[in-house]
Amino acid sequence: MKTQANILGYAETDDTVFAAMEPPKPRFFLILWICAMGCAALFSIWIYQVLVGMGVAGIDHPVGWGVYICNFVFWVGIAHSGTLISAILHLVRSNWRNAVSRSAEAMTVFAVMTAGLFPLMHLGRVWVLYYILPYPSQRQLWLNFISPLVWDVFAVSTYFTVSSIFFYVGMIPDLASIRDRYEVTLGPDDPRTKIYRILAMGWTGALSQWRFYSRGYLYFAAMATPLVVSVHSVVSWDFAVGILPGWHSTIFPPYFVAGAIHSGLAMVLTLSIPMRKILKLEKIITSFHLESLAKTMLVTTIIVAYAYVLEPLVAWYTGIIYEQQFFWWRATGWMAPVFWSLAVLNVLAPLLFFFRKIRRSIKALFIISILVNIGMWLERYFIVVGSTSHDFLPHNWGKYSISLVEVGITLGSFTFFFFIFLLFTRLLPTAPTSELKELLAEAHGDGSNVLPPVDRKGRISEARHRVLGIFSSPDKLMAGLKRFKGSGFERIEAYSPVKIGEMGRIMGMPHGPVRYWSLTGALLGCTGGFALAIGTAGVNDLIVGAKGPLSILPYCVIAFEGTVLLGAIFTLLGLIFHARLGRLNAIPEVYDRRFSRDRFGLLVACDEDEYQSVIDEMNELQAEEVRTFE
Amino acid sequence: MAWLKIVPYRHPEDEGRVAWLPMLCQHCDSAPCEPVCPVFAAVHSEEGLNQQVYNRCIGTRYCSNNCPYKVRRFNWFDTPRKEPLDLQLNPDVTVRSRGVMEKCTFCIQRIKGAEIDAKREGRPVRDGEIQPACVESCPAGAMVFGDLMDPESEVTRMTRMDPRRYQVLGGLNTKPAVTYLRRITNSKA
Amino acid sequence: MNNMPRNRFVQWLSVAALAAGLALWIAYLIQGDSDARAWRAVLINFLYFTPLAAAMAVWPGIIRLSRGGWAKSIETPVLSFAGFAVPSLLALAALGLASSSWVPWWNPEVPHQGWWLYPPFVFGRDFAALLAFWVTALFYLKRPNPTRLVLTVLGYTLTFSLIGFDLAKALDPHFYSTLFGGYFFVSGLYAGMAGWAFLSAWFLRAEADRLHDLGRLTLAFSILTTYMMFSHILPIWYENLPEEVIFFIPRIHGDWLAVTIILAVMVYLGPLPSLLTIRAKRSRVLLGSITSVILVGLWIERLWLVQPHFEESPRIGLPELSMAAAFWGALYLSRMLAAGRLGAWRNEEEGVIGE
Repeated sequence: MKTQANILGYAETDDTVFAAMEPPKPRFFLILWICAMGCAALFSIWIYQVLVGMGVAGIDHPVGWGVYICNFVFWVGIAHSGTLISAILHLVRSNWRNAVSRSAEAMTVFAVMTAGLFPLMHLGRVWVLYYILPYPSQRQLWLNFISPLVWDVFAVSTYFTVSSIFFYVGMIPDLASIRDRYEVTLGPDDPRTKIYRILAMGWTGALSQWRFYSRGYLYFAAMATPLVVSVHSVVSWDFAVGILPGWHSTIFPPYFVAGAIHSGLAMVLTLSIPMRKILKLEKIITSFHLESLAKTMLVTTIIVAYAYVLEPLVAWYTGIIYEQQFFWWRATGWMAPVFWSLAVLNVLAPLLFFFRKIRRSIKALFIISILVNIGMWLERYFIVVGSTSHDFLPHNWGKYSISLVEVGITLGSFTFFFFIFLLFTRLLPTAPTSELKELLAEAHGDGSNVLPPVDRKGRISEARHRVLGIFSSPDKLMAGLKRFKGSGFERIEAYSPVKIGEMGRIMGMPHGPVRYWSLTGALLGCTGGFALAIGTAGVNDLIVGAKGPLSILPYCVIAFEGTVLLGAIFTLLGLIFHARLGRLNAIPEVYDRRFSRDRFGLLVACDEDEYQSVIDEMNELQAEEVRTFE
Repeated sequence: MAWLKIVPYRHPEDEGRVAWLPMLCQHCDSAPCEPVCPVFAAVHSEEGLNQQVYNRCIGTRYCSNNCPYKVRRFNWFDTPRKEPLDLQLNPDVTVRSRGVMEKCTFCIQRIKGAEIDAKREGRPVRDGEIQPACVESCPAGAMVFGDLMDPESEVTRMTRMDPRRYQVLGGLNTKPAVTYLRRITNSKA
Repeated sequence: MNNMPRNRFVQWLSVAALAAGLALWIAYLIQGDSDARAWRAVLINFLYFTPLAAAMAVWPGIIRLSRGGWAKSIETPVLSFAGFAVPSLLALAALGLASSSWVPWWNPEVPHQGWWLYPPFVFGRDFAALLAFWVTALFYLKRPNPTRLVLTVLGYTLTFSLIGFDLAKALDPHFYSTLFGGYFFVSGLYAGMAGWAFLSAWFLRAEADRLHDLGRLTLAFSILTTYMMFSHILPIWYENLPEEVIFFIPRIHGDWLAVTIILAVMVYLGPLPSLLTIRAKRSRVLLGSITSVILVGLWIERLWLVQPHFEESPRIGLPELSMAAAFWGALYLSRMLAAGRLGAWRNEEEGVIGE
């Protein structure tokens, strides 16, 4: 089903999105300054806590983990739905994702950065934090790869790396658009133009580049998908491999992943509804997109509800006194208000999305999304604090009261996130213009089943006589490609602001070399992960909890993260190599700046005597302009 | 720092009657606290001790969360000890800084002391030679410490053969090294 | 292309399989050494064929729900697997009526769950759930609309979670796992997708693009099923709690260890490298062979779920195989009969591809 959402043309899409990058009004700077103050407060409070001790946070025996871990899980969860929207929906060829995917990816990267603060904050001795990194030391001390916290280190850092790569690579065509725009409006020597020129890595929108780019992007999406599931499964195993009632439960991994996507989608709604109003992006992020987000939340609501119902039932089923008394306490003890509010906030509120009227009301979407955000934060609190405060032996039961330090740090983390996000909204394109324009190209129907030929080894740049035709729509470009290829011209290049050719057709064609890079990286990462864990276990030779020194099962997690990490890095290298990105003076003289905006170019290399016939053919194909190069 | 707590539990029926449960680190063979420490600060020694390595601990507190007996204690603050209070510190025991987890070590300084003495004298450690502080100070002799691998030791006899024996939270399969003996009394009826 | 060839030979073969399978099984029941083993054979095959058929009937709906119209050309033949409703309900009823001779949790002592595991209640609720699911599915097939579609998919997950809990996990009432129902219905979806890919490769003459899509979904669900099994193994191994490890202990010792390793290769880890390449997914022969291995492997997996609690070593013999043949025959015949009815319904509807 085609989306009815994209009603802007090529140029208008660019203008609408890039208008947000113009110098902002004073109120933006006010809000930015407030967030900066919040970050300063965050770091000052943190330093105070480091100097005085963890006791200033409200945690005390028996509750070893409190609000910091809640925040960690909360922010990692939010990060996941960004990857869901950009990567997973790309794989299933959903068409509504395009408008929100950029802000969702940004949300992912910034949420992971925010989440990464909290494992640091909750450490008792953060100044020896480096003990948790695998580095060769004189005493040959290595990590305990059986510990879920080590899996966390690998999973979250892999997630940060891969989602940053995914975010950046997705932006390259749009950065090229901005570069070209600034070259015109600000001039080539303006520092802003220079910055975006560097960031755009010499992207010209040549079809030879698009081909490798779309393959690479597909592989990133394919790797990001299991990564998302694995990262939040690893976070859930922080609890599920613990012994405490309420933590030790096999359903945690899918339950946490679904919950993460649930809260993340709610955060996308919470962020994009005000953003589209303030940055005037209503024509790009339409109510159709918001409705689709709401419908996806229905699926996660059902999964979360399934887990909510199942856990107490199975606890009763076990007949184990510890489980039964624990679940009874959670529903009736001092945690009870949290317990019952979870059902309302996380399940009943988003179930209202079944009703179309609610899905279509922007106010309702915003309110319910905030309710879900609050509810999902409370759920993490419920899980973390509930189990630690009320475990096996009654004399160990305790309470937990949040301290001002924790409140300050939590609020500070939100300002940290918003600070980076606000900078993003002004410095980088908040919607993926090239992907949005791609929907336009599909709507026009490019009418060709032929994937254009690849200009191998840059032969066309060496040709003496070249003719460039500039077209205003992709089907004319494709018609021209077919015509010239059919006539026997071998050195042809095309320039386009959008990826042409449906993914399905790309799939059916020769697949190119990028996949060998991905496979190599993946294999290296897998064996590397196992080698690291097995090798270091052999060196330290320690028994922990009747396990070890060698335990292959936990090492599978490390190997998996290594697979994705190196797979992604090698794919990036392959993409850069084959698409010839990142070279100095990469922009050829034939390049017209409108190729990143709304024009399509067809470059044909010919002999001197063929000049005129080529020019004539170009005019026949309704080229707006024809240029020749010697 | 409450490494050993004597926990009072009220009898459910007998008004006024209280039972005492000395709760200390059980030094579990299958300790749930050990595999979860990311930096190997909680490890199992070859002698069966659950060891806490203070200068390796980075303070994640997962070990305490995972201990079902909750016998691990965290240093939430530094403890200032102005003179002459610093004289109360045992010279054989490390002073722990803030941010470090600690627990009962079965008085490892005494264990090591006895082992070093025995080695110097070229003999094995005798049963009853190692007396952790709690065992030594109990006037009722309610605690016995020894080598569970020695079939002749008193602690082996009591642990393996006494019909009153039980382990706290035994169903969790932590295989604790501490065995309790039930108190048997005549019922009032 | 979207029609299963009405092969007379296979039709007669299925009738023969059904008749002979039932006859042999009854013979074993009367003369064999273990009533319980005979009924467990029925259970194993019920747990294999029912989620398989139900998943194949539900998969086209799931694809439509995620707005993918790409499966329209090959969905009708799988939808007719909804015809398996009747044989599955009959099998479940038979299992329920004969429960006293094979149910391990009510003899000799009542388990601590009490009334929850009272066999008439167990089979009653499972029968009701399965009936409700099939009725919902048939309502959807008669007149497709999004609400019925959602209810059908929801019904699948809830019904097969319940059946997984009640008829597989409860075989040892001390074992518990919150994810077991999830594992059961996801492995059912895995079987259904592998079955659909199998049929599309060998019989439906589907085009390479469709095979590619089905192959990708098979790969995805094999990874998902493996993930669900790993989510069991990891925490259970980690905390070593007696009530949880009793599931794995019999399965990693003696002859059962070999079965576990075979399963790891056929069902859990094997499909990943074999279905990774694009060529494997697009080729009829490769996809067809790999999915047939998966389908056989999943049958063994159901055996592996049920038997280790009772038998020291795996026993695949007369009762198991005869029941498998009977169930297969019932599957084919019921699908055939349903296909005719479904075609009639579909021709009444506008805009839906007819048989």
